[in-house]
This record gives sequence, structure tokens and C-alpha cells, in this order.
Amino acid sequence: MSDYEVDEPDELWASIEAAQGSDIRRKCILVWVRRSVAVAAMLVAVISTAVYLMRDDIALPKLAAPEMISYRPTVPGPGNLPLTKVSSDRAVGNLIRHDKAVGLSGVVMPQDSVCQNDAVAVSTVNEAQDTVDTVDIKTVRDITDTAGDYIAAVKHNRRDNGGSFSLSMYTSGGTGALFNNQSGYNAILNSVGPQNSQWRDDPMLGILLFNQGKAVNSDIKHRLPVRAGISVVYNLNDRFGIESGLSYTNLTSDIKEGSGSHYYSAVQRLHYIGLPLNVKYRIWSWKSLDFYASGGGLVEKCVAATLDCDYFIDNHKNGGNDESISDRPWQFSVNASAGVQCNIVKSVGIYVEPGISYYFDDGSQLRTIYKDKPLNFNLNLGVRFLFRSSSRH
Amino acid sequence: MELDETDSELQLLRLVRLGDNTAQRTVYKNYVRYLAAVCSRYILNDEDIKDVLQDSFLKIFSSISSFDYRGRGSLKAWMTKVTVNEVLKFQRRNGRIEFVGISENEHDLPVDEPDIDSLPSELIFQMIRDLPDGYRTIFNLYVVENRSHKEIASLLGIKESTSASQLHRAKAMLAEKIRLYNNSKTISI
Repeated sequence: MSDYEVDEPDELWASIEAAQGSDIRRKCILVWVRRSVAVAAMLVAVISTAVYLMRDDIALPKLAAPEMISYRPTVPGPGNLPLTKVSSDRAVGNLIRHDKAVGLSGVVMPQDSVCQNDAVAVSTVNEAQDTVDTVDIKTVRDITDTAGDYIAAVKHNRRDNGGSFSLSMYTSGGTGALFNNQSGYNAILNSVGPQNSQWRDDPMLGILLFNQGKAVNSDIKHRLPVRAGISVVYNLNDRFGIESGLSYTNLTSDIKEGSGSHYYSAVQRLHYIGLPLNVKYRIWSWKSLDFYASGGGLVEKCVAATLDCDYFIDNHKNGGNDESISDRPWQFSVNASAGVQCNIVKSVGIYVEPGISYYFDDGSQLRTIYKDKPLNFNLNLGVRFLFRSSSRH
Repeated sequence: MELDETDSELQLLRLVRLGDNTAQRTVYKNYVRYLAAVCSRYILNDEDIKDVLQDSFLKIFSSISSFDYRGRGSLKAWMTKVTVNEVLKFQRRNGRIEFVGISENEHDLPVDEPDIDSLPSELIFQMIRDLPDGYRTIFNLYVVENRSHKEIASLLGIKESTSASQLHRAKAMLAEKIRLYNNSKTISI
């Protein structure tokens, strides 16, 4: 009697599914709210850590003087000097005499450099994709009546899920990452009073002249690299996957060279297009979280580079110019990272991926954050979309 | 073999917890006929049975995370409990069940335990369904679901003594039906 059974009511499953549909929509909103709060908390934790790390000064190795300036604006030769104005002013006349020595000897470079690192650089790299949710449940739907058969079907499908793709979009960014300050030397030559108006045409030369006899500093502050990209993972099997894609990186540095009151201030902007190649390995999964490790390399090519200069004499802006930098180096790097991905739904996941990257010297004269600090800790945040390869299922 | 089945059921439960539609449907298919019978013992109207079953499965799927698996049979027992609760909820929604009062004399009447071994399950099932609402509910809860009078009293909001007397009356009525059936069978032979 206790095992007595009767026929199920007609259309019962259909109405349960329909009722669940509306129920699930309600719950989805709740789940989204809960997960958004979780992600926000995670971001707060990550940002707090980054801010904390940025407070710690990390000494960088001494830099050789010739490498000090990333890119120098055109320095006018003595032939361009406004001689008529110079001759009318004794002080400036003295200056020009000094200038001839200075100008011809090239740009004054500090000998003793002290580097300070204000921040731990945070950049982004591509990352890999895990596959726990790549089981295509649909393929086994309606083919089994018993739990045992169903599970067997799922297991089989899991083993055979190579060939699925996932697509990820990621970005990261921030402010000031690395700050270098290099002190110059005291020239023997006497300094002269500022004659700002005299140097409107050649402010750079003016800066050089007025700074004779003064301590000259070169400050380079590298902003946090910003990288955005899109990547695709090809899952070889349940655990291993190969990831590639396309990335864009922006490296911006603020440069200030000169003395306290006579200096030029420039923004160097480098734009890179990169091609990452990573191997990823799913370590384990728990509920909707996937933990994985990833390693690989990134090849980047600088596709655009600009330098926007403003000149200041006696703390007053004295013109400026924007230049394109001709140096367009290749940048190679290797990286390793560990990541965790939260799958919001089967095909969409948010991931956080701390990692470490090493950037090789690009052989150029450009000063970048990678040259000053080749070994970078980085943090990727991104959204990953999973597409299933239809040919395999 | 049993280990395999336990393992399968556990994995099935894991998928149900993740909201997997196919796993839910598998659970549904495995248990719907049994749970339909449970509902039918309490409720006579087919549409009402369907509604209660639907609510039961929704409840089962939504609260499966609170279910603690304790080996084979525990899932079935838990699902039955959820379904019976839904049945009682339905009955409460649809007005209070009439628990017909009975006299002390009647209460003391001895009930001869009839021979039920020879009866087909279907017949007993039908006989239970033919009991009046109040008797049927308490008989099902006490005899089939193994609930105590104390539990039944709190579930239905009645006194324990009412539960006991209704059960007594239900048993007597069933015994009478079975006796009549057995007699008719004897006569026909």
C-alpha cells in the first residue's frame, strides 16, 4: 500500500515548468542583487589592497643617466636664437653666452639618480577560461528516465567537452603607478633673471638656459597601465584550454623636467595592440566558482605614440607643442596568474585574476613603466562569455 | 549496486540544487506517480490533486537545499512529507474539515482487525478515498504517514482526543467495508 502509485495528472510537468519560469525570474533578480553586492565587496577589498600597496615605497635600481628622459622635445640650435632681443638685454646676453656652451653640450642630464617607486603597478593580462559549466545539459535532456542514466550521460558529456569556446572581455585601469625623481647637478655657470617674454618662440631653450646653475630634476610618473581586450578560449578538454585574443594597452607617463620654476611638463602616451597566448588549467570548482591557473605570453606592438609638452618659465606657461614619437617598439612579456571566476549564469561569468608579469626590455629609448619596473603584479577584472562549439554537441 | 544508486541519487540531487531542468524532470518522473497516489488518498477532485502536486514539486525544487540526504528512501520520505504538508495547506485553504463528533459509546466499540492481505492495493486505496473527509485525513496521517495523534492534532488544529476518535471511527468504517467486500466475495464463490 505504501508504494501504491497512480497515473500522473495530465500536463502536470508543463504547468510546473511554467510556474517555475515565473518563479525563477523573481529569484534571478534576488540572486543578481546578492551577487552584485558580493562583487562590489570583492572590488572594495581589491582596491583597498591596491591602495595599501601603493603607499609602500619600493626602491628601484639606479638608472643610468642617458636613459633618464623618455623622450625629449626638439631643442633648438643656437642658430635659432632671437639675437636681436638678446643684444638688447645684458642679462640675457650673458645667458646666451652660457647657452652656447650649454646648448652645444646637449641637454643637461643629471648624474646621480635616485629613483622612487610610489606604487605597485597594476596592469592587466589576458586570462584563461574554465569549463565547469560547459556541460551541455540540453543534449541529454529527455533521453533518460532514471537518475543513473542521466548522470552517466552527464559524465560522458563532461569528458567530451573539448572544443567549446569562450569569449572574455576585460579591462582595468587607475591612476599614478610609478614615480621617478632624478636630481641633476649644479652647474658652475651663474643663473640669470627670468625674461619670460623673450623666450616665447623657443621656450625649451629658455628653460635650459634659465636652469643653468640650478639643480635640475627629471620626474617621471607612470600612470597605471590600462588594458582592455577580448579573448577566446578553446577548451582542449575538461581542464586545459588555450586562450588567445586581441588586447589594447595604453601607457601614459607624466614627465616633468627642469628646476622648480623653469621646467617643461609633458604627457607621453603610448598605444599598444597585443596578441596574447595563454594556457589555462582548471584546478577545481565549487558551486558556481571556478579556480584556475594560467600562464603564457603577450606580444604587443606600439601603434601610436605622442608627447604633449607644456613649457613653464618662472612658473608661467610659455607655450607648448604636441609631437608624435617615431619610436614604435615591440613589447614582449610573459605572465602567470591564478584566477577565480564566478559564473552568474551558465554562459556568463565575472572573474578576478591576480597575476605576475615580466616585461622584457624593448630596446628603445622610450621610458615606460615596464622598463622601470619589468616585474609587475597585476590584477585583471573581466566578464567572460561562453559560447559552445555547435559542431561538437 | 546500491552504492551506485545512492551515488547517482546524490549526484542527481546536486544537479537539482543547481537548478538543472533535466535533473528536476528526472526526479519528477521518478516520484510523480507515487506522490499522485499520496495526494489522491487525501483529495478526491482531480484538478485539486493536480494543483497540490504542482505546488508540492515547486516546493520540493525550491527547498531542496534544506534537504539532508540520509541514504536511500530519505528523498522519497522527505518529498512525501512536503507533499502531505501541501495537502493539509490546501485543505486549510478550502475550509475546515468536518470532524464528526462521536459518542463515548461508539468510541468504545471494538474494531475487529479485518484480513487485508488478500485485498488488492487498488481496492484499499479506493476504500480509503471513500471515507468521509475528516476520517480520511486522519487515517492517512496516522496509518500511512505514521504520524502520532499529537502531531496530527497540531497539524490540523484539533484536540488529540478528536484525532484518536476520528481514527477509531475511520478504522471501524474501513473494517466494515472490508467485511462487506469479503462477504460478497464469499457469496459470489
